[in-house]
Amino acid sequence: MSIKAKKLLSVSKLAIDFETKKGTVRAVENVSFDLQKGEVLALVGESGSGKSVTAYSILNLLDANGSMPLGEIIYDGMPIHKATPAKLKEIRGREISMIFQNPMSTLNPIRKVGQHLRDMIRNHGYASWSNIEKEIDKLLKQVEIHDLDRVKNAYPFELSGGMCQRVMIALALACRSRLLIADEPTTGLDVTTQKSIMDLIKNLAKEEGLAVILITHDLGIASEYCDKFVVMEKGKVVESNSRVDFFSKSKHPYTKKLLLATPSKEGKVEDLTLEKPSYLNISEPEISEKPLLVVEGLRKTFIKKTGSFLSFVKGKEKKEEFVAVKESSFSIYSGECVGLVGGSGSGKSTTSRMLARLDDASAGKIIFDGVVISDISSNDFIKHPYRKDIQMVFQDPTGSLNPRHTVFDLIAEPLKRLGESFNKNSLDQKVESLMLQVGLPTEFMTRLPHQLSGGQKARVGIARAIALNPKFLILDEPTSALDVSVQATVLQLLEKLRRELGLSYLFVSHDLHVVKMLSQRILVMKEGIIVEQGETSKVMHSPEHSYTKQLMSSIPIIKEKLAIEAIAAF
Amino acid sequence: MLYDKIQLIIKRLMLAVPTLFGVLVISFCLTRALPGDPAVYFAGAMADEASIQHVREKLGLDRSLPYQFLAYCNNLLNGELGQSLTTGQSVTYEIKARLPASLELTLLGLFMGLLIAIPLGILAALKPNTWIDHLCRVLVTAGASTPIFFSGLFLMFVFYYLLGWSPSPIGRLDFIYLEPPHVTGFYTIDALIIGDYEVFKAAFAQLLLPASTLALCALAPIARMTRSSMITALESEYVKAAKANGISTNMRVYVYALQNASLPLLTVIGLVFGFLLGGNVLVEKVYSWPGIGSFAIDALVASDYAAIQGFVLIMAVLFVTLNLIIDILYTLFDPRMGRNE
Repeated sequence: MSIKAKKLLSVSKLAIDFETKKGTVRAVENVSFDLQKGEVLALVGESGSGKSVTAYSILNLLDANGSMPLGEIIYDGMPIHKATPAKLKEIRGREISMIFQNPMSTLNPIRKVGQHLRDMIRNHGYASWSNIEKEIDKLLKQVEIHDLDRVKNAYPFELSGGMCQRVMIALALACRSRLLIADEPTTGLDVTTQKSIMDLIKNLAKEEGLAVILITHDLGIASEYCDKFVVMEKGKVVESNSRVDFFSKSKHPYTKKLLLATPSKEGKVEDLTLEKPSYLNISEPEISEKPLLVVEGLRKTFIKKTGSFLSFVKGKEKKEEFVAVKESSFSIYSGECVGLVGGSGSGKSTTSRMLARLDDASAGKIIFDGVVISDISSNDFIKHPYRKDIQMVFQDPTGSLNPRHTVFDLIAEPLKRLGESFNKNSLDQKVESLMLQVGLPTEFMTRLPHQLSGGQKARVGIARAIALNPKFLILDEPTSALDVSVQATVLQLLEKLRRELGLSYLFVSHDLHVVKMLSQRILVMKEGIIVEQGETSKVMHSPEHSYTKQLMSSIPIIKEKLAIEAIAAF
Repeated sequence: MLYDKIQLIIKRLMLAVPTLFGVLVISFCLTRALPGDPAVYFAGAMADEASIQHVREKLGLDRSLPYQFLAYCNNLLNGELGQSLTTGQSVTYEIKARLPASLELTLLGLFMGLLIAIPLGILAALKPNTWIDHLCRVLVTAGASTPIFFSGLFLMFVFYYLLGWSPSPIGRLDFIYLEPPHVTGFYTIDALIIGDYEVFKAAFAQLLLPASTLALCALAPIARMTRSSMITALESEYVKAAKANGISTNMRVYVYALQNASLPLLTVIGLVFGFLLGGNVLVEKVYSWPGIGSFAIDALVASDYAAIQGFVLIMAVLFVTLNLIIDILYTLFDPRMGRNE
């Protein structure tokens, strides 16, 4: 056997059980894969597929109620599934290390970055007292951090999410680990940051021979950076292929479904599922001559008080203005969907909150249906007749639903508060028809939010928003918390509703490829300024602003993605 | 960084000034609102209308309330708290003599409570649903539900009456010993200063039972908070990540988790200390401890206004100072304080 072909990690026939009050639950069954030096393996699956549990079992990090009754995990010839605690301590961080989702909370909040690195190196006895600082500098440089002194003396909350993830990677590499397990390392980070983190990981794999297991729900990232693919569904491996075979020979219907549902550069919203959605025979709503909503020179500033305490006493307090949205102007016609794209902190959420009249603008005008509504304060707008016409679908489907209200209460609430007077029967009927409209079975009426899946909660959120027959709907990242296959169906629902009801949308998202599927026009926002706006096809094919280009090149896409017919055929 | 913190601390110190002034106004008004006329008490049982009037004028009680308040403030600035009726001494003298006795008791009680509660809470968090966790739960429930005078009498009954391990639970020092010379007012420390270990042992033995009574009462909230904040910290992402990176168990538990868990704990310790200062009054009465608590009760029974006013004021000042210290410690321990504005 040549050195090159030697397996670094081999997992075979692994099963994982969890003891619960209702008895033993098998979370993962018959999982096998192997990995060589320098290889990047993608462990792909949606929530609940068992991909994270599988990865955690490699380092025996399962919770106390979890166990591995079957199968074996061999790392570099060692059976580590039955390693002693002392042996495990040696392996963790020194042979195999992990980075996690949400880097801000995986670093100890009251410990400086430098201390973290020192802990790690000293714990494994990797460097002596004299050269430890040199070693730390080298590590930070390796993860492309250059202002060493600032970062070493910074607490995690003083750094951005991307920086924290770099620090986590530096920690993982501190003792020359040969295998890195990355659990959704870029979820929650900006697309541009995501690209730089993933590029860094890929480079480490290529140059240092690091083996990587990338756990992700996003086939786009996986296809851009991985050499091997393992797809999991409900605790079982449904597909395990090398890169070449994955895109041409995948057979399992679940893999096909995932491939289809992953947004791509050219794909249309109706192509996200195998079955053609029914709304295709509804004609596009007519786009009005006069704009429904006009925004002129909209501006939002936040005032931050700075200066020392003494200057406060002397009355010389400085007031620093932070501009969240700078003079933006655009208009939306009825029946059309406009996408608003930008990274975090670009001011897109502030803009949408001002348009929904939940926040007051600092300057500028919002004209809705010919009436200036920016003069009415956000507190009084609730009594305004236009409140019904402008509604919002919120980002977090769980957080935006009262956990103690049933589906019926949730959908009926806006009807009771802002609708015309309803009697019991007509309210029941209205809620029922709304549920049918958003594709929720009516027997869900008495369920509570925690009894619903993410996609169902999103549907409740949409039903609430359209309950009052609004003219204009603001969609604030409506699918960013959902799995891709669920995202596909929710996007199709939104498209169906727009065609059926002639609604206008402002679709706010960080993901250009999702936005472009629904939108006729796109606005690109950066640091509070709309840097580019235009027809979707124009923005997508010949972007003018460098930021738009940067955004587009950052989003990982499946280059090998085949036409829908081809996927359906194999 | 350091500059920011100093600024925050100065701001916090300045905020204590209006609080103290508020305390002053309230303690003044409260005593004035009590029923009865101090002049009648001061003049004595045999006084007639004229002599009462005379006393009233002498005490300034015939003047308007604002004038009286200003005079009171003026006296305070000179360190004058008035005369105690029951003991005949000035209130300042009484408090100076008795406050160390109370503080010695309270501090030892708190210290003993911490010494038991924190390790117990940590162990319970490390091994949930084992015997140590159950022990923690039983102690917490017992400590929280037993009234202080009962546990005081109970300990006395067991350790003095039944077992005879403890010296007679009366006062700070058995009468066969001489008081150590006054330096800090804490008998144990003063005895150590002159190197008299006999007296130290006697004073400490005398302290043990009342301090244990207070410790039992302090134990419950501290152990409960240690347990719950340690569990939160141990289940956090950063401890999990540290585990995955092979950081040793001791480091994870005693540095990573405990550091973070100590922040909410600090708040609770502040609360408990304040609570103990109040609970002191009962313990001092049960053990005939010559502290300010028993002094206050005697004063209250005898309607000794100057003494009550002095007691309320000194307790309030202690509370405010304590909260101040806790806040400052919090600022020093938590790097996030004052940075997220």
